[in-house]
Amino acid sequence: MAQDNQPDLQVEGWLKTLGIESLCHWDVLVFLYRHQPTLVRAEHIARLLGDATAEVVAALDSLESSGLVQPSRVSQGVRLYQLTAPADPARRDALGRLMTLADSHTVRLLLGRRLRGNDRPDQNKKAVRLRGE
Amino acid sequence: MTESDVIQTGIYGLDQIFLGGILKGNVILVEGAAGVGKTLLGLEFIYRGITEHDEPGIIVVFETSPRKLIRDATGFGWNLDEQQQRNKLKIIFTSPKVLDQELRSPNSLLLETAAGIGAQRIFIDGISLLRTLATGNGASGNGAASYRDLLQQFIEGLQRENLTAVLSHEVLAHQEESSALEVAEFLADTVIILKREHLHRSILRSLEVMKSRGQDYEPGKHTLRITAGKGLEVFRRVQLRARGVPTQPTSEKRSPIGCAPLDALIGGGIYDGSTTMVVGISGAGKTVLGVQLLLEGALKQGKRGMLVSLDEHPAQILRNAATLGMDLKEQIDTGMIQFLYDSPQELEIDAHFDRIIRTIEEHKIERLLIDGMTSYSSALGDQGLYRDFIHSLVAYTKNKLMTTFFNYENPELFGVSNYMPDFAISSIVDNLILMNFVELGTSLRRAITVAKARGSEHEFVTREYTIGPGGISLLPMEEGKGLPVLPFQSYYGLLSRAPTRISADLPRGGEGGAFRDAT
Repeated sequence: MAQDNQPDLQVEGWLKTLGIESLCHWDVLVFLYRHQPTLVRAEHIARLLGDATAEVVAALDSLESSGLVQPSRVSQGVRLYQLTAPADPARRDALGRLMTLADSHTVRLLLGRRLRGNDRPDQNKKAVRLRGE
Repeated sequence: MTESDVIQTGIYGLDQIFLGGILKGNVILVEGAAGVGKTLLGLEFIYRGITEHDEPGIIVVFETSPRKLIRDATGFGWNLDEQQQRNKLKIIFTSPKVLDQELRSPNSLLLETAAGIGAQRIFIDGISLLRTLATGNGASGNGAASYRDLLQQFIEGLQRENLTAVLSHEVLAHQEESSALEVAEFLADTVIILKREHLHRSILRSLEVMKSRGQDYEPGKHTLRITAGKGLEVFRRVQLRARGVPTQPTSEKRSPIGCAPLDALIGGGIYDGSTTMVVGISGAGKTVLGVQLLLEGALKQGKRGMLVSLDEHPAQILRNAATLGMDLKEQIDTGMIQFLYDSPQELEIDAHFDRIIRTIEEHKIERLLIDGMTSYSSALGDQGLYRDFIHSLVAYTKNKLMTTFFNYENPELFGVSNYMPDFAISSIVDNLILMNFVELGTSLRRAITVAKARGSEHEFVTREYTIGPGGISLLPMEEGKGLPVLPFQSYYGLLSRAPTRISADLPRGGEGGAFRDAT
């Protein structure tokens, strides 16, 4: 079961280790975790998450370049998205721990707080940088 | 049809419905409303394929998340995660549009994934969603026709890859959806209908095969059960005739019941393969006689027995037998006698019948006691179903040359005006034994009569018996000490089965009745 009372600092540390920088980034990661392997267009994921396609594409590219998503060839505009465990032990550990929080609000709340902490006027905008990054 | 031609689903009882399995390469459509078990059937088809037949599989979902499928499967003891790690399974989340494209594309990522794990089975959950792609795109402009084309291309794609596919299709009430379903039914090779219906306040699940190209199958609605920790179980409907059964065998051999005077009364024991109905009121000793039959078989003839009860729990029957010095428990402990108890509440007769047959086969049972026919009639509440169950059981036990006793609780305290007042089935048994109370003076005594014994010269006399150590014992007939047998004219009240002898002091009437002149 997910732990809702995980210390924020620890969670922040895991997010930083994996390079997760925004709510959209996090939502895409959790979506792929729940739906892997996913054989869809980025637009389809964006539609299901309620995000802008450009943001989802950016998040998918970022996850792939950071080695969290297995690279796949393109078939008629479709890619097979599948999470992969990073070779680096610290990153693998961070991914494993964060995925235990996939069903809880901990990470989204934390990212939301960072958004308010940064005094961003549009609180609904999902691409939010973590403080200090 | 050889074994290599078919694919076994591995789902309990389903392959039996298909007489061994479904023809390889058939596209199997599973249809039903929400909650009937379509997804579960598809999941189990894939899981059993991997674990029992080493046939890797692919599961394609459009709406459910694979993680939820994995979680739900865990409740049935199926570890899908493990199978994915072993590279025997892939659960792929996609959209209907992508799936359609992928099955047609020579460069398909989906088919590349399937080939990568050597997939032989595929389950696509929610094929009806493909319909959304078809609307307005058909050449004729007709939605249903274009859906037909789309589905046909889709099925072609599956067959090209030599995958045996299970496609789930939701049944909805709207006209548009029902015509889409008709199209799917027409194109699929095998159609399985799952239903969930209310009967009074309970739920009955059923499975019916609508068609299966190239093979025979068991028709009609079979009982479906979904059990946590197990999965799906299909129970062949009890009314069906057994297949491949040669002419019913008949034995010339007689075996003792376990009460020598009763054996003599019935004409020298009972034939192997015969069925006997024991009719009597509660307390007459029917169960005791049945236990005697089982113990005689187990202890003296090396015949394994089984007691089936809907009335009494095992502990109570064991205790009651022990009070009579009958060690039923020891025989149960050694496995010579099996005890099968089912609750009469919401009795699923197909499942109950299956359990009886499975126990008989597993333990090579030769003597069977069905204790409490009345509970069946009240639990089923349907004369046809009740008769079908008894007919099937009688047919099965006769084919196995088993000796079977059915105990029937007759509600009449004295005498019997009707063997079975509710659902009469006495005509299908070979032997009929009546056990009644007789009131003599102020005491109740017990009387036994063999009313019918097919193929036997049984004695047509009523004997007194007692219940004591070892079971029932018939009291000896004392020769020469009985009352003289007089013609019927010497009695009145013949129809009551408790006639009274006319006193010699009363005035005698002429032909037709003693009291005609008196009245």
